[in-house]
Amino acid sequence: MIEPTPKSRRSFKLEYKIALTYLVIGFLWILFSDKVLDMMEPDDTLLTKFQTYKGSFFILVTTIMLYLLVQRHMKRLGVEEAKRMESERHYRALFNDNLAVILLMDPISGKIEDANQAACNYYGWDYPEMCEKTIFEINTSNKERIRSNLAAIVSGKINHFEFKHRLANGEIRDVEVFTGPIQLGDRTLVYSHINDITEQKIAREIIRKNDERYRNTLDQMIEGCQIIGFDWNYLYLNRAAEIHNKRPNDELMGRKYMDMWPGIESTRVFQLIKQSLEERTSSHFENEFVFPDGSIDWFDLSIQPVPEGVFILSINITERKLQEKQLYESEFRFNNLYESGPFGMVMADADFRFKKVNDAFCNILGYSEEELQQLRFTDVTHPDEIGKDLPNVRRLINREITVYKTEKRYIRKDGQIIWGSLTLTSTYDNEGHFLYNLGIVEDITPRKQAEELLKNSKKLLAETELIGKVGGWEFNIDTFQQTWTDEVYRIHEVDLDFKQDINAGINFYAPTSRPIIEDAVQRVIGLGEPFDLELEIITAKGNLRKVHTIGKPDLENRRVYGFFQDITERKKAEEEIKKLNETLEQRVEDRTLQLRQSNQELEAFSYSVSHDLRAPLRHVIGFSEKLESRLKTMEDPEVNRLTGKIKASAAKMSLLIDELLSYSRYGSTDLTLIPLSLDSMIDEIIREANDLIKGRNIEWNIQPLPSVTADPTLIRLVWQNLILNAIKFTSKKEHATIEIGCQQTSQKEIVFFVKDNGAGFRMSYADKLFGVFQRLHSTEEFEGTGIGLATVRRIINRHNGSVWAEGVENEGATLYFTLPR
Amino acid sequence: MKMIDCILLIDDDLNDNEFHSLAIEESAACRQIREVNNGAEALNYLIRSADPANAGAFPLPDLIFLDLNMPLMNGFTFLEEYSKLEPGMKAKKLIVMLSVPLNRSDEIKAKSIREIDDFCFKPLTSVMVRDIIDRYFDC
Repeated sequence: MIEPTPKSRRSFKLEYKIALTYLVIGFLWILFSDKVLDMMEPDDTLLTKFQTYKGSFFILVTTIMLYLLVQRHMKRLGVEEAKRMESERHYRALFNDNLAVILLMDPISGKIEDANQAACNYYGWDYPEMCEKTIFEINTSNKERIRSNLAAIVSGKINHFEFKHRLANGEIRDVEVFTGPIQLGDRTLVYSHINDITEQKIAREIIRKNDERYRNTLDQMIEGCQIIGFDWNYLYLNRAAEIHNKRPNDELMGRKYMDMWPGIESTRVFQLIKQSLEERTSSHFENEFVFPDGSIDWFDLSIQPVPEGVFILSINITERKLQEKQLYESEFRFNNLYESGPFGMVMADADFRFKKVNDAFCNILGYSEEELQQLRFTDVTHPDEIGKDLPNVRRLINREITVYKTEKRYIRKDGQIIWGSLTLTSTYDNEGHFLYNLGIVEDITPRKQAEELLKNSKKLLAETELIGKVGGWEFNIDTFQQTWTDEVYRIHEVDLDFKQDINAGINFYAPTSRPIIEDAVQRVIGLGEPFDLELEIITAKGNLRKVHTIGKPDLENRRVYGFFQDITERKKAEEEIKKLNETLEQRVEDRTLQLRQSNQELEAFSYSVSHDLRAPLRHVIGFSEKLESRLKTMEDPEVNRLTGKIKASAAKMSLLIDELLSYSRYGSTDLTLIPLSLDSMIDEIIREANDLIKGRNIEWNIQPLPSVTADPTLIRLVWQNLILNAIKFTSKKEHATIEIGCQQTSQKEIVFFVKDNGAGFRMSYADKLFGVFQRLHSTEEFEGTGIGLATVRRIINRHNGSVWAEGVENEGATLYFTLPR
Repeated sequence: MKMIDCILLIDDDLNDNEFHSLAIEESAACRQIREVNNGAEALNYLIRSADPANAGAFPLPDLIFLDLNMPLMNGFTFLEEYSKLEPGMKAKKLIVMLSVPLNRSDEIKAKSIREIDDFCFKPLTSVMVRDIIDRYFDC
């Protein structure tokens, strides 16, 4: 058990203080009290009295002070003793109740002199057993080493060990020993505080392994990791560092930093590493590193002091820097654009209020900048567009989309509606809060109007194409890329997404057409010769179609363009018409031939009939005349009458035959059309009719007539018939009037007429007038065969004219006919 | 009064021939009349008339009256052959007799034949015969 014996320096000091205090007070009292008495200058009796009082007072004060001091000292001695006892107890408790294991041992014998409860618990012996043991039984090290250690402890050289100690149950534990010599009375003992570190050792092993793992991790990191020692030697470099340094780690390891990068001492990075090495500061910065070959990379560097020196973490940010540079440049450009660019630029806040607008935007909308700053975008947007814009702008602000592009209608200040192309993006601060919307607006009104026109004309074209089965095409001379309009695809019977070029187009042509189109295409490309062809194609569905294709060169624009039409139906129709026409012509020809043949036959027939009929008639007449001249001598009047009748009948038959012959003849023979003077013709006819006119009272009223182009023989026959008829039918009138003239009724034809005041006819019979053998009067009344007017109609019809008659019975008739001019 | 020696009538119609012969006799302008009934007979006659031995039976005619419409050899065929005859076998004049006017094609054809001196319509009368002889003969 410990008996501490502290030195009482404090009581010595007290005695000294008391003596000194007494000496000082006594001396001061004598000095000052006498001075005070001198200043008062009292008489001698009073002085003696004062001296007495003064001595008494001094004795009183020093006695009180002495008493107080002695009393206080005595009291303090008692307190200190009590304190000492208390402390003794405390130390005892501290030793015994300490949770830490504490041993006291003899440094020579190694015997355990004392042990606390914690030690007994730890080692597993009770207190008496514990005090029987030596340290050599506990410490597993050999004795000699323990002795030397103990000697070192006593000399104060070492105060910390790690040992392995054996417990009562034989278990061996790792312990850490804090130790030192302790003087108890005249003995020097060794005090040991034992701390079990078995668990810590295990933990340390784990930590060591972790360290290794970290090192591996460092090796694998993307960031470059380098450790530079205090002597500036490279201690560690990971793989990324090898890439960042652009030289092998082996080349750097163990070498000095400034030897490897000559000239590095003048750089900021060197200064910061130096500062970190010397002042243990850390820094983080971006550094532009110029390699020995002159190339430049940017690094984000962290420099940290570590026990070995400095740790440098590097990230290559060259790419980011480049982007930043570009961004900076684009921002610079953007500023220019903003101020003076051709595009309208506008900043608007979350309430769609215009914050900032440039001149171009003001010009587009016709407002001033101040006016626009009072407005929201909804105020200048066409009402129909707002429904589309609002949700999209909200999505943009909410970062659901990054950009909103639209073509929309704006309303200008003057009310005019214009089209603008808007590109809208949102800008945020670093925390991701919405700042403003930035819009770029371009006035595309002219383009939109052009588009609208184009759309309309395209629609019209498409409709036209569909109706006309006609399309357009063009191809580029250099690339052979070909464009078709929709109808061209339809004509080829392929879908609109059919991939076609000029060769694919040519392959559609039928084998007979292909060489033609190939030649045409070569010529149009090579010589600029246009083509216009009707060819055949075989469609994708295998149908043969006839097409009309026209190609024209536009060499200036390196293209050929043209027209493509499906003419299958038209061609079919044309061919049908052609076929019909051919058969029709054939039929007409056949018919004409038949007609001609039958006409010729008829003519031959009538000719031979008249010829053959005439001969017997001639003989009847001739021989009856001979007979008459023989019988004259018989003086019989009856002979004359009978032969007269024979001759008259024969003559009438002869006339009949003549007229029948001319009727058949003039209806079928070819016309010889020549210009005729009608005036002379009519004079001649009247002159020839002299026999009939003789003795008659006829008033001729003949207008000058124009010349016509007609067949002279036939027209003469017409006039002859009409004039002789007029003479004939006026024969019963005492005063006959015959009028011949013409009327110009149209540009196409001339109407001629022969008018008389003769027997006339009933208009109800007018249609019978021109029939063959149709007679309105008896032969006794007026001679005639009934063939004359039929012949007239036939001749006039053959001249493409017409014939008609007007008449009043007993008052006269007018015969009209027309001839073309 | 003019008088010719011989007239040849070429006609298949016997009645016409008789009537025409009467008319020629009546005209008293011709001494002899010969009649043949078609072109072939007429050629035969003319060829024989060139032979002096036949002078009495086949005198060479001064004037021929030719009918066109005949069997065996018609007038046009006869004229073709007649044109090939030697001058000594031809009459001085040849008149074509018509019973109806010629149709146009015959008219054109007839005009191209040099041997035809004139046309006349049947029937011949004594007046017509005298007229023709006066017109075409000097004697």
